[in-house]
Amino acid sequence: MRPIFSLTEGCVDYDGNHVLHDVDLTINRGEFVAVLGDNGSGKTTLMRALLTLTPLDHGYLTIDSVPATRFREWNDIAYVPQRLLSAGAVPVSVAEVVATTSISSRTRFQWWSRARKMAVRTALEQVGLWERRNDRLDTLSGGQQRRVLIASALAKGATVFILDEPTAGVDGENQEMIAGTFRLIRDQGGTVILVTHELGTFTDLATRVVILDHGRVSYDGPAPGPTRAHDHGVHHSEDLRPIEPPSTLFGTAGGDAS
Amino acid sequence: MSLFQYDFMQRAFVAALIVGVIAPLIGVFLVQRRLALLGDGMGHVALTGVGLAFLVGSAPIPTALVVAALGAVLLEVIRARSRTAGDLALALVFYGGIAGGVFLTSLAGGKATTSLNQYLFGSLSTVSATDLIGLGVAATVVLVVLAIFGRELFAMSLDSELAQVQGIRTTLMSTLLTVMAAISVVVGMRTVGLLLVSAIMIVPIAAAQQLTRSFTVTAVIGVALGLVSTTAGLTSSYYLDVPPGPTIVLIALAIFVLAGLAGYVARRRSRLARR
Repeated sequence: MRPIFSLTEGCVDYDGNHVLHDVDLTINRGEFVAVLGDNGSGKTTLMRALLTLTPLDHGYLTIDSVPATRFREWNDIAYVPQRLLSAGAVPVSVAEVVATTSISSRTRFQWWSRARKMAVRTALEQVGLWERRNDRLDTLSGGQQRRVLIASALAKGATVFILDEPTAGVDGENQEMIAGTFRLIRDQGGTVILVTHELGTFTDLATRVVILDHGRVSYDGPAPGPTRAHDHGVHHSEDLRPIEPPSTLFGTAGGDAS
Repeated sequence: MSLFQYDFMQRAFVAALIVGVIAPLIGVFLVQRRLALLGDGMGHVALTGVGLAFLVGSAPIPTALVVAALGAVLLEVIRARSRTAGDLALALVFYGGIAGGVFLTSLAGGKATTSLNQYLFGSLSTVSATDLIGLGVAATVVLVVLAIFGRELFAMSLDSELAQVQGIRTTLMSTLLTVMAAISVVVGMRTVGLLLVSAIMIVPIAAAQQLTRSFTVTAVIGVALGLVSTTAGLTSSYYLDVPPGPTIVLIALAIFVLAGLAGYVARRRSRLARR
């Protein structure tokens, strides 16, 4: 399997404290990885480091087997933040937000290509918000706005998705819809990296779980999906013993599965 | 129309039309980035350019253009180097700009100090034919840059981190936007004046966004309102015999109040309709 991200001895310091401490992590294409941890565990910093938004103080990162500083194929990686940094300043329509992710220096001179418009339409239909395309983003509910950001990622045509707390503050119906979208992506061979404090509807999707605790990886192994738990006959399999995951982490899982 | 019989008024109108188009086009990005006061700061910096022009006897518009553009780059460098002190960087460059401008103008002495007012609040009679060429070139540069980089600037303004993960060079785009704000300020220097020019970048956009649902439409309506403000402001300035800067800005503000009321009524009506 080809690694998409490979981090070696990754360290990030902030005000003299280690936020990430000697993290070794390789994520292969086709994996569905859930990065879990409490607030302050370093999971967000790890995500930002992988995206090169936060520079490493020590360590080495390759993306698609290329040193991160020389990586250029950003079209293949889609990042879904919790919200837009400057949403609500000037009115922005749903369609404009979704079209934004296909903007890059390479597409500078292909403003309105038919393929681009189709990609926006397909993505918005996929998240069920095509009818809202001309509405202001900030008139949508929090869960719907999250679906718009997911549509942006889909419209980009990427195969690697990095999601920041995709279900936090999102109601049940929207959570199901979001999980359904990424189930499809997983089944089509896409790579998904999910950073969250609670797996929720994603429990039976993740193939691998990485748990961070105080900036270190405390668990890295298979996810305790319902199938797996069923196979082994226990919810807390041997794999999970070293980390004693809080029950809330996988708590809501059982109900949705079956 | 009697006011068009004077050459200086014709030139002032052309200058006003250029500002009315360019300023809101840059302003919409500044408002999106929550940097509405950046234009003000660039105006202060351009003042140093005007002071320098007085002192060495060079043409004010090109000198102000160069100084303001350098100030813009300096600002972005300070901002990029220091993570936390974004607004502090703005403040430092701004104070330096206005102090430098008044200092250099006073050193030049004589007529310079009296004509400083024309640069601060605009003037009907000072737009020369040479000025118009300078304004035309500057405006063309802004339009060409927007045509090429507009979409990348939009992505950067919406979410700079998301843009970075798309491979957009956000520091470069940010610098480009600040330099274009500096150019727009100098373009508006003659008619609106350096102290008020930022208003014509921001107020038409603030008015437009009361009525719109998308960025593109906000920009287009912003330009339309900008043109109405500058031309109506210039006309009333001629008849009232006051500097054009204040009339242009007061008209823009009046439009903002009307747009705010209209937007309020429209939103109320659609909310009632949904019930």
